[in-house]
Amino acid sequence: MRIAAALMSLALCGTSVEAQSGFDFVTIGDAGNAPYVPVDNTWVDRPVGGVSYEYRISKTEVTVNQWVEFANAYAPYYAGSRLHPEITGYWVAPTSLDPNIPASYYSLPGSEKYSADTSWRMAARFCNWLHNGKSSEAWAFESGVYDTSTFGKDANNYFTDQPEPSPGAKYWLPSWDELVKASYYDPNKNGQGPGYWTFPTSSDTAPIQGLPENGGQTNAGGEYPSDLIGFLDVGSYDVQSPWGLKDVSGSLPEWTGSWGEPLPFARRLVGSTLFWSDDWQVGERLDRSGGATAPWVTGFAFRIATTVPCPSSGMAFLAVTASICVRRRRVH
Amino acid sequence: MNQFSKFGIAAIAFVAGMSNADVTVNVSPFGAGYGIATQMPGGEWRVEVFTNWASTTVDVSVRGLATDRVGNVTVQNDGAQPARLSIRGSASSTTPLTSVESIKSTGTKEVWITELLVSGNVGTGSGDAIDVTLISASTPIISVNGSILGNIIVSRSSTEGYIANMTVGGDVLGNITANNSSIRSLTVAGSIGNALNPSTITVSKNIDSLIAGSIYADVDANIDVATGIATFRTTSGNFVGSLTGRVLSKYHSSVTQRFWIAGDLDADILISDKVNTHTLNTNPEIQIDGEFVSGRKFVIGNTLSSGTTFKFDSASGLKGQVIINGSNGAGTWSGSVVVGSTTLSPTPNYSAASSSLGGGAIGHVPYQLYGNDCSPVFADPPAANQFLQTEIDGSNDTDTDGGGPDIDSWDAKAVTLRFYGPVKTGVNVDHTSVTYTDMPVIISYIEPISGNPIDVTHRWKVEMNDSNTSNRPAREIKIRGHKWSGGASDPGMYVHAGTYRVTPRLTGSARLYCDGLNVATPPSVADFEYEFTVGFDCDRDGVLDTSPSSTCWRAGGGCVADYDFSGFVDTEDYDLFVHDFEQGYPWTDVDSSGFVDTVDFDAFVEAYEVGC
Repeated sequence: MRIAAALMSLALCGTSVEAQSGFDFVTIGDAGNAPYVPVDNTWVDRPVGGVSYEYRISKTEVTVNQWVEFANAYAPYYAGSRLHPEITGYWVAPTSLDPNIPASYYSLPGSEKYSADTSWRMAARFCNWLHNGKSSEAWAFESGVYDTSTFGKDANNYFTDQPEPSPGAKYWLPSWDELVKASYYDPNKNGQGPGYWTFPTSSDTAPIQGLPENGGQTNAGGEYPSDLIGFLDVGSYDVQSPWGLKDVSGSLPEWTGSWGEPLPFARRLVGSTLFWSDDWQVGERLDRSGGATAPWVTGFAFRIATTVPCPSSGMAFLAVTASICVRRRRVH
Repeated sequence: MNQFSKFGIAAIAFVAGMSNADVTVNVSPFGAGYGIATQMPGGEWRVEVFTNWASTTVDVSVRGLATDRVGNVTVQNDGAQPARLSIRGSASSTTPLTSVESIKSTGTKEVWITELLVSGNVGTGSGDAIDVTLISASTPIISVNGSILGNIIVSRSSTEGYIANMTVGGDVLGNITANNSSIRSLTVAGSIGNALNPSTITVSKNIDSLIAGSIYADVDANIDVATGIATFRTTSGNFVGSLTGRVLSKYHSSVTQRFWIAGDLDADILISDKVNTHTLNTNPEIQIDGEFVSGRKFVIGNTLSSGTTFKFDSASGLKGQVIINGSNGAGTWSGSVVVGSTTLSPTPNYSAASSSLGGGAIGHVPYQLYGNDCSPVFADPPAANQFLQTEIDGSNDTDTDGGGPDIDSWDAKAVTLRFYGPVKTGVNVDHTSVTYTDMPVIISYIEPISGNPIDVTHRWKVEMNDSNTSNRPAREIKIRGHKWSGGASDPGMYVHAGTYRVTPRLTGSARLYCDGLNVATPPSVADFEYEFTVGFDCDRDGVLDTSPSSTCWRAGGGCVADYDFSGFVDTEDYDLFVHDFEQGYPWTDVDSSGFVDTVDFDAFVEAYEVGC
């Protein structure tokens, strides 16, 4: 029944480029799936991946070009250095640093479809901006999904950043559960029912390092020092998660919206990185998921989660889709 | 009361009346060793771990409540394999402890920190905060929300060690030493070091990524061969101190690498080899948002590679000195240097004057004359009458210290030669006994009829950065006449009207050489010819004489015998005249016949014997 629901939702609400945001979303169905339960809590410190509602998530990470659009919209309000990596990431540069010239940014030629990277807090502003219809007004970046006035530290050096998206959020950073489910959960693993893959490539075997044209399946661990692969356009590899997510393996680790528990010390990350050849598999193994870092740290990719839209017409669909077009509800 | 148990079971200590026993130490596999956690009178937990496991890697975990403060952590690993040390809260894999006073390896084998989660500080402000084999995590879970107060030391003897995936929310106030190790990724939200207590960062291998809000440190990453620096950034503030490395933008295929300073670059930089790029990278490999501070050097020993961009974002941001081919090899200036919106060209002898760039310069060794920076600006031929005799002869100089004319008092219209890089000479050009053959430039009078150069260096004085002084504008040589009258020991000489040519002395101890280089024998500057002109002002009224008389050589009819215009007739006049006569200088044409001959010599001797 759960599998059928998932398949139905895929059929009805599957991959599509949403006009408003410009993202290619896939629908993650099978609401109420069981979480992955770790053998011990050394790495994965709680059951993860169980999500009780349907949602959509971008098939690929936010690209450099998508980030540049945001950066240019936010530039008039950004008070930091134009060279700060939270605004430039690896692939974006300011057109000028002259304070007398309005700030603007551009993507390095050839990098337009690479994964953008930033801090959690700037990724949160990106969500606010999407939520507010890409308005170029100052308020559009500071609230809607995450109230940026909460960003800070308390007296004990714990972060005060808003822990969850605001009610009614249209776009948000996927929670750890949402991203783990979308990356590893398979409603019909090996044709034997629900289960979790070890790697986010619908496999229990580590993907093959290498370029796509050489039969490679990931660029994880491929940058330096081994100097093998480097960045690639998002979606370059054929391998994907059971739901169609690309590049959870390789590229850069992705921010999630979840704090590590029980205290707001660091935001969870999912996925491996093309940096460092050592232990590159570790970051993308499900049983090693859950690493986290502070929300000001830069250099991490992100993707967007959103609600499942209701069909615009067709009464015949209403009954079928009523259950899958519910608004997202958080249970954790 | 202490309680501990061997062989892998958590060892816990209690101090009566202080708190629950909430810090635990676990050593695995079972039997690999033991750990002790002892709560100290101040409430912090001292942790001691011992292992001599002979087979596999040992995992050591220190766990506690998020409110726990851990004191000194020592791990003595005398086993066969590394010990992996994880320090964090017990509630989950993302729960921190409050603080740790120090983490130290004391055994014979390696100790790796693989997890370190602390909401407050690591270290106490004195001594070493961390001293282990390496700091590594596959995901970024070496995370300190407070500051590192003390030194960070990683040291590995077998293969390369590293500091990887480490983030610090506050400052790093201590030294960082990476022996046989790299800094793969260290990101600091605050500052590394501060103005009062700058840090020392010593890295034997690569700096792959070092990012901080600001950096006050002397950074040495030039210890091992075949190493380099990929990313070195400040995100909001200045870099103050120094940096030595071999290669910038080490990895050809990575465009993520960059040397970006969001504030001022107030540091001396030495890249002993070259600056690389990647064809995809249109981002500057080197970018300075603020100012490159005056007096600072950025030396590239070899080449600024083709395709690289070295950018000073401010239109007046180039105040310091950049040197390319600092090792005096075959290094080329093949990349672009951009100041504001101006791309310097042609290279290396770009045309934009330093005053339009901030006052600094880019010099490719050997330095050439910076024609547009000279005063008068280089021109071939030079304009007529650029100076009057009375402007350039130095007669208005003063002497505040009794040591000769002060450079600051020189006539504003002294000839000023500037180069693309700092220059120096091996002699003391100030010394009153300096002979003209010890001058770093040769100044020749261009005989107006034949066009032949006549060496008249002895009639001029030079001020520059010499063997005696280093506190002068380093790219600059000032030249003006020798007729200073501020002291009897420096009687001065008359400056004749005409065209003069300045060329560098390229050999000998007085040669003019490139300064600021880390080479045993700095090369001489590139050869050049610079000309300037002096107009007649025989009546010394400060106005160009339109019809100078034939006796103008003698400065408006002055005493012939007082040849050097010192106000006295003495043997110096005689010796100087003889010298000039032998050279055939036109101003020894005493009888104004148009020829220098024995009649002139006899006339001078007669005048000398009579006196004035």
